[in-house]
Amino acid sequence: MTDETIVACVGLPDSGKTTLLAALWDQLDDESQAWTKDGEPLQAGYLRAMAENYRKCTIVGRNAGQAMQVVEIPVKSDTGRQTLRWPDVAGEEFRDLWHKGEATSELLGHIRDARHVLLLIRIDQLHKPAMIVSEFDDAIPDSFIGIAEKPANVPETGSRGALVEVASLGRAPEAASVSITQNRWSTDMLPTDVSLVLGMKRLSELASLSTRFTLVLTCWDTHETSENPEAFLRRELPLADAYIRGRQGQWSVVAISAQGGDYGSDRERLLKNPYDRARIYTGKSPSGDLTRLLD
Amino acid sequence: MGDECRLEGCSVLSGGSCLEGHGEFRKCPNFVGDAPAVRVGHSGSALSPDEIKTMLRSRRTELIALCGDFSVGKTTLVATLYQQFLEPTPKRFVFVDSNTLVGLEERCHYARLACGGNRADTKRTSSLVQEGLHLKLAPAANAGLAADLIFLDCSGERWRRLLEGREDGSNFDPVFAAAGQVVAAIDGPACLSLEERVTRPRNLRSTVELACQEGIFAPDVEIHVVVTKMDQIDKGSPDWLAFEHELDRQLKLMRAHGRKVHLHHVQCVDTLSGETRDSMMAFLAGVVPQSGQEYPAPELWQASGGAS
Repeated sequence: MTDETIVACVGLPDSGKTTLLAALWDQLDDESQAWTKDGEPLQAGYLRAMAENYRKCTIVGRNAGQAMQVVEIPVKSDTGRQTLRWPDVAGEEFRDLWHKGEATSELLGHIRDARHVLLLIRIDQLHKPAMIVSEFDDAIPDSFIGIAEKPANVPETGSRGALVEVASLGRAPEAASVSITQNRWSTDMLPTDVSLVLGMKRLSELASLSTRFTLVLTCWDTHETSENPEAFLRRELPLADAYIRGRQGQWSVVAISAQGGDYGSDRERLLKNPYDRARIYTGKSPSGDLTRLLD
Repeated sequence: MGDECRLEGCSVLSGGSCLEGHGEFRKCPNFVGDAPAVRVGHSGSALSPDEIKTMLRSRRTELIALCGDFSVGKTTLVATLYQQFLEPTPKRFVFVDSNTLVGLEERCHYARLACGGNRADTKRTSSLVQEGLHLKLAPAANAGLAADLIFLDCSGERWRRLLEGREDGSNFDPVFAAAGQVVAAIDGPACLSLEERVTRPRNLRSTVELACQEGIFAPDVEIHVVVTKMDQIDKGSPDWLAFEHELDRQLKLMRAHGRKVHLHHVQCVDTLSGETRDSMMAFLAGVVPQSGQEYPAPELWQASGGAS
């Protein structure tokens, strides 16, 4: 008899859910990992095709037009046998839940049944909040996104003028990328930090009290320092950090690099090492065993 | 249960793409399935008076009413307060939760827009709307003392009409009377002129007194007079000193009527500056309950019939 552990993997579109599943599928064949396969799942064909793309460094994207795939993989470890049910939820569906509070009954069912929810967020696409400032001057540190005076070549978007956001992360303000935000507010403009807390709240409301949650920071290979995931969260996503700190025991944070590097510049290295690409970071020490996520 | 695609050869339900090319396959006319969306939880927008009452019944919550003329910076005050928790500098209070993140972000957006033009000017609160913005905060030194705060806002025009006798107190939602504290905001720079320095503090006191007399506020409500936009004030100028003198006179009159009155000075721009952060945290220290006792868990409040 096996216990059924339901792991729900959720995140906005392009957060890396399918890449993680593809990397995990290959790793479950490796007897040295914490968890390994204990038989063939019904969806093996779907998973093999996905893993093949992963090994060939082809973008492992999930088509928005595809229905939700519920993958069931029998797995075993030193602690016993389990059936891993992994609803590969489309990011578009989760975005509706995240921002609008709307979800299909199928998605709700998977989250309610889950014993462990993995919430994925990509760290290389953070939308930082613009601060309320009266003027942009040299005193503003590089590590924040502020509001600059409107460049002369930028047209007015309304009688009050445009909001100019300057993404100055690690760069001098004048060299920073400039984008114009519309005057009319919409939920699409939520900073990642706020959006993430909204998502975490929705999940906490839906899941049972015994459900564990792991915030998974993806694309960690794009972050070049030796900083640990907790320190990154504290610095870059302070609202989410505070939310998690208030719920320790229920929420934890890990960082992963499922892809292992950039499919352009690192392609040769990645192709040569298809089984040694992925990394998981808890605290400061990296591990190549992504199946640790299933503990 | 029962998802089905009626288009022959379409493999969308087994992992393929919609043959009709619909990105959102549930919108394809050939797709037959369950009701597509179920509403989950609160939207995250500002709370209506009824939602505030529900929250007051379900757990101990500090309701703080915002009061003051239009353009004095009531909503910007709350937006700036919230914005403090979006930057990582350690502070006296820490964010724990909010049920109105969408509402707070919307208000911040308009404050940010206005700042692009160097004017702190948050989205106007509609003259009809009475709504609440929720923040759950805890002292950094003791997260167990987390407090639920709801800032209850309505338009400055409404307070102006009350003052001029054009608005009846009964038109205000009764939830205002449940507020334990009132933030009565006054625009510092606007009070520097000879024309305004006496009138504005007097009007502020009159508005609060009227609201108490008409039952909008409870008679024993605690009052926090908040002078806003302090970044635009030269504290050594004779105009400022003259305004301070007049404000002090009005506060003494309020205290003489038995009101518990506190005075705060805040600035709501230059979010990253130490002055803004310090003024916001000092303000919070004044309004966050300092009972020294942990709030009972929400379940306990529900079991005992709710808090008033």
